[in-house]
Amino acid sequence: MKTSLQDRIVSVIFGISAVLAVFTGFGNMPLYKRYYIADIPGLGWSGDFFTNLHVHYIAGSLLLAAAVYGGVRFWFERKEGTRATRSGAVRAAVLFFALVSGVFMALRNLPGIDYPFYAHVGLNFLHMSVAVVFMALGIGCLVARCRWLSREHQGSAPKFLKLATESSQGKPIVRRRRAGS
Amino acid sequence: MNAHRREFMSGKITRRSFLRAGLITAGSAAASTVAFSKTARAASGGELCTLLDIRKCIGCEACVEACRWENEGKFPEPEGDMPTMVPVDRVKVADWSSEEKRDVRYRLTPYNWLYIQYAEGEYNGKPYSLTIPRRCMHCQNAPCVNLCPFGAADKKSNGIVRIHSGLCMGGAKCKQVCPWHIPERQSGVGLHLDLVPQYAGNGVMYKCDRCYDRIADGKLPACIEACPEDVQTIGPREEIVKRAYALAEEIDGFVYGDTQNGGTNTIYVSPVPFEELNRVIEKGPGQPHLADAEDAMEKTNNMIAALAIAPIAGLFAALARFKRLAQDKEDRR
Repeated sequence: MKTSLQDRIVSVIFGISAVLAVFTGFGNMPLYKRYYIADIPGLGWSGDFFTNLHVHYIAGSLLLAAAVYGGVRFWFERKEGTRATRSGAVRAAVLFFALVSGVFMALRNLPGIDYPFYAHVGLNFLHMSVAVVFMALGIGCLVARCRWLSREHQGSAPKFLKLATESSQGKPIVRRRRAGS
Repeated sequence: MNAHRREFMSGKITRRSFLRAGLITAGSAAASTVAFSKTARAASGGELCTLLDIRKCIGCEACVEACRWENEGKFPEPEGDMPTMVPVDRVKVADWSSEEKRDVRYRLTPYNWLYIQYAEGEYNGKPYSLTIPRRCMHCQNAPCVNLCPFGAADKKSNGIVRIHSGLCMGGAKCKQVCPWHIPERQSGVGLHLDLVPQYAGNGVMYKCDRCYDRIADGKLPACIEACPEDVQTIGPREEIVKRAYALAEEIDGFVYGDTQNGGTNTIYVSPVPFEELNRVIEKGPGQPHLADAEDAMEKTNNMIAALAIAPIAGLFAALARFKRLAQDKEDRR
């Protein structure tokens, strides 16, 4: 799996838009004015709900574009042995729900589109919950330096062994022999 | 304070206060059949809209009283002291629960979801004196519904915009994003008291729910039923809009609410332009304006184009990369 300049640019866009989406997501709750965040020079915009929402839309759009790029690449590169790490698969699933629920919420803002009350509340809470989980996973994986993808060992090893030989970081686990065995 | 309010508050008998006393009870009984069939018809689908012919309003406040009476059970009842909010300099407690404050009728409060606005002045060289019932406009694409982070504000299929008091955290975002700043907060009540009472939320927001429960039972909203002058008519939006414009043409008048904020389900018809009325009415907290209101969601909804383009851009970028890789492979061969 080669990384090109294009991949690196997409990675940077993904990182920035993810941080911005989470930041503006929290800003959709009336917190930033209350807790002086909007008083920080340069963050005054975060106290305005509409500006905050517009930035959230832009960040969400960039995140969606980066996610589709990553998804399409992964789909084609699977044939060449590229596999998602366990943490990568979990993060991708959570991101998928965050993005899809976000798109449905954006559609709801259009005139003439109303959801039933329980669907509306459920969607709000689903979007909030998966975004918080994605943020927590993102921070955790950043600290543990987990990767999204790995190249699976080529060869004739059975599938369960392939899974066992992959660490959470997507690197092969080197199994040491116990003394005496 | 204008002349009408002074008269009301000083207890002087005026034509309006006399009528108010006499008609308040008669109105409830007499007007119970008004527009009922239209309500029933709209209940089968589509949005319900109200038309307010403000020429007819005599400011008797029968609608205000009926609203308070009907919705008493929905009013907040705080128990114990108000919580001390954090940070105290940023989060003001809004307590309208004292007997004196509950009685306030000159503005919107958590206990007064409808009030009468007074407009006096001169138009086309003639003096005018109008009274205007004011409450939630029930927008077609309500920003309070779209932007409530918890989904506590909800728009029903019949066009009613309602805040669910059991889910509202009282953050007042709905009030800030509403072009008329209609919802009013009562602190010391609501869900946030069971979660983190001091650090998130600050009570519950209240506003007109256009008697959703009465409408569900096939009845008229209390304010419409009680009006002795038939100021309000309720019916399917399309019909009401047609009637509003026909009436405006007939009286050489003006329409407000059809296009404001992208369209509402409360339409006023007045013989005086609304710019003029907006100039003379008292405006401020709990006293909404009558100025033109741009569609609050328009800019946001224009940005949906970015969301539509995003997956296509991502897809093309990925395909372009594969094309380049394939070309590289070919070149190497």
